[in-house]
Amino acid sequence: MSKAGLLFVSACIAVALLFMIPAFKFPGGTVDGTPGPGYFPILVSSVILFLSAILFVQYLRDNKKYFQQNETQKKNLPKLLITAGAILLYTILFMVIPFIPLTLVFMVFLNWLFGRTWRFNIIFSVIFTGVIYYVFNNLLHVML
Amino acid sequence: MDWIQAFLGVFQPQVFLYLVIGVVSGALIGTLPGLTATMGVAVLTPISFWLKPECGFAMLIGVYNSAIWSGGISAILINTPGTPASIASTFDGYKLTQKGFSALALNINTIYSVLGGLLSSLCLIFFAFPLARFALKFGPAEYAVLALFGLTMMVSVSGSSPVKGLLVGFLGLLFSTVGLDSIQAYKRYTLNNPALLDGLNFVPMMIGLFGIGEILYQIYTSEAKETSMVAEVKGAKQFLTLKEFGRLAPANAMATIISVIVGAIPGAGGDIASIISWGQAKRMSKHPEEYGEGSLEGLSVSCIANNAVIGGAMTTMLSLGIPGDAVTAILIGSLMMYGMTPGPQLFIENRPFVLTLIAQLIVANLVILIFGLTTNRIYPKILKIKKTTLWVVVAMCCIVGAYAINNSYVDIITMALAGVFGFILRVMDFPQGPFILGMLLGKLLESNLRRALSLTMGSYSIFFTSPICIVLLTISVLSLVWPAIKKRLKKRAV
Repeated sequence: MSKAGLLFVSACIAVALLFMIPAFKFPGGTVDGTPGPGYFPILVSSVILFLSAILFVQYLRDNKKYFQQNETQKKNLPKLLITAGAILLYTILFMVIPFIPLTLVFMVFLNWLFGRTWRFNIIFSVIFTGVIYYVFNNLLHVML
Repeated sequence: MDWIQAFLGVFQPQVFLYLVIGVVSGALIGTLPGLTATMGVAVLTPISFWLKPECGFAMLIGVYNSAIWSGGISAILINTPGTPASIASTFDGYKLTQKGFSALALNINTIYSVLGGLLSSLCLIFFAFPLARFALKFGPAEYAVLALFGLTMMVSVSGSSPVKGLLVGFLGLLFSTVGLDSIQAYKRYTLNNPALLDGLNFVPMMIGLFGIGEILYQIYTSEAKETSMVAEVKGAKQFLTLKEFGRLAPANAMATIISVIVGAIPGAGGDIASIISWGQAKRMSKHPEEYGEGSLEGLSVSCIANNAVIGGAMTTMLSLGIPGDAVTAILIGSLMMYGMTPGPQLFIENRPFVLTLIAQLIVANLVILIFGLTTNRIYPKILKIKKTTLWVVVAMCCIVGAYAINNSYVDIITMALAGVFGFILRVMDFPQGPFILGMLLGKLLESNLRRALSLTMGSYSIFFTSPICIVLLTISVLSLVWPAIKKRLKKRAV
């Protein structure tokens, strides 16, 4: 039995239901036979529920365990979680902290996390932040 | 006259500059294992929106062609394909390097990749226009079935189990329903957020799935200590002789035809085309024993196949609006962002732009030829760039790129969440391509399905009376059940 597989399929079922239930309350079709706005989401959600049920049974029978990590993956897991967390945090702070200081800290942190030397880290972070800022802000006129 | 203008347009200084920038960026992206053509095009797409359409597309076409070509460089020098499409180039390319003919192998890669790109561009010129004219006869029912056909074909060749592919594809379809519905303009799943009225933005999702998702996956699976990739370009013999070129011609002609057809099939990319072509050429060869041992024919066939796929993929993308592979799916998204809808109408409403695109494809290959033959000695140095540096660079490009599309924070958060979703899909062995395809085809499928049903007062008979629908539906069903049938037949044989 693959627990991760079952978890993933359960999430798919939840998403399908999340789209399907409100769709029943959408307006109905027109008199000429054109289906209403709820028709397609209900149709697609139904197929997802059907496919999820098939996969659910497959995972129940399956001996293959997803997320059964090898040594390398076990070792890399903290780094992965920290990187994913850092990216999510950066995207949130992007709204409140100016681009240059935030990006500098973010890049220095990632380079440190990936084990680069301090000298490389500082030089690379400063130059790359400057290049990104110049290209997007000055050349492409994106308001950073 | 139109064609002359299209070619002259490509040589406008600004357009040509972006084409060259695209080729150089693509060379870097393709050479480095781990950075794929899909990721490269996805990451550079937001930048292209800030340019004129012809400049933006010149850059993307340059990246697409160049990354596929340069994927062969690392395949030849260090036995690691730079992009999945170059996997067959490792079979003979690396053997040639081991024998001391790396310079010859790199030049074969450049010349035959360019040849593949040019020949498939000719196919694009000859087949895209008739196909688009034929597609003009399509009504809502045919379009709905065509969208379903595109999705099922991508699922069936996506490598994973068809059920997994279908599930991901249908999730994409489901997410495409967010926003105003196309017929009654009714708000669906917008959470009262005006930013969601137009639906979920396709581009940040794609950047997240293929960019951040891939980086997270590499962080999770890569070895702690990177082994340095030692490569050098050497060998007195640099080019094939005319006699050798002639000897290799039949196998390469066959590989081109196979690859253009494979490219036109939604979802079947360069990796499938080059492996099929290499295998077929080996079966046809008088010296099959040389294949895998440094065969010049084997290497040339795999190189020509990679880039010949592009013309096929672009044919279905431009004339039918159905992407041939993940990169063309992204290009469709870019065309839509520019306000153009790929499909037969594009050939009527934006004919000069279609011609410009084809001209860019041809000129990009010529630029690759010159660039490739003159820069062989650089690649060993590029291969020394550490993966960790690339991760940081790509992550930053993804984040800023996603924001740059609309200056929207919603887009960055969408991109980050899509990245985590992309990582989960990779770890769980689910294909990512069908999700993007589902999101792309969702609106086409839904609006045409509902319009078709309105023509018959809600009766589904319309899908079983049109010959085009019947053919497409039959192929779709067969493509989905074929893997199961094949499995059973194999079991019986055992």
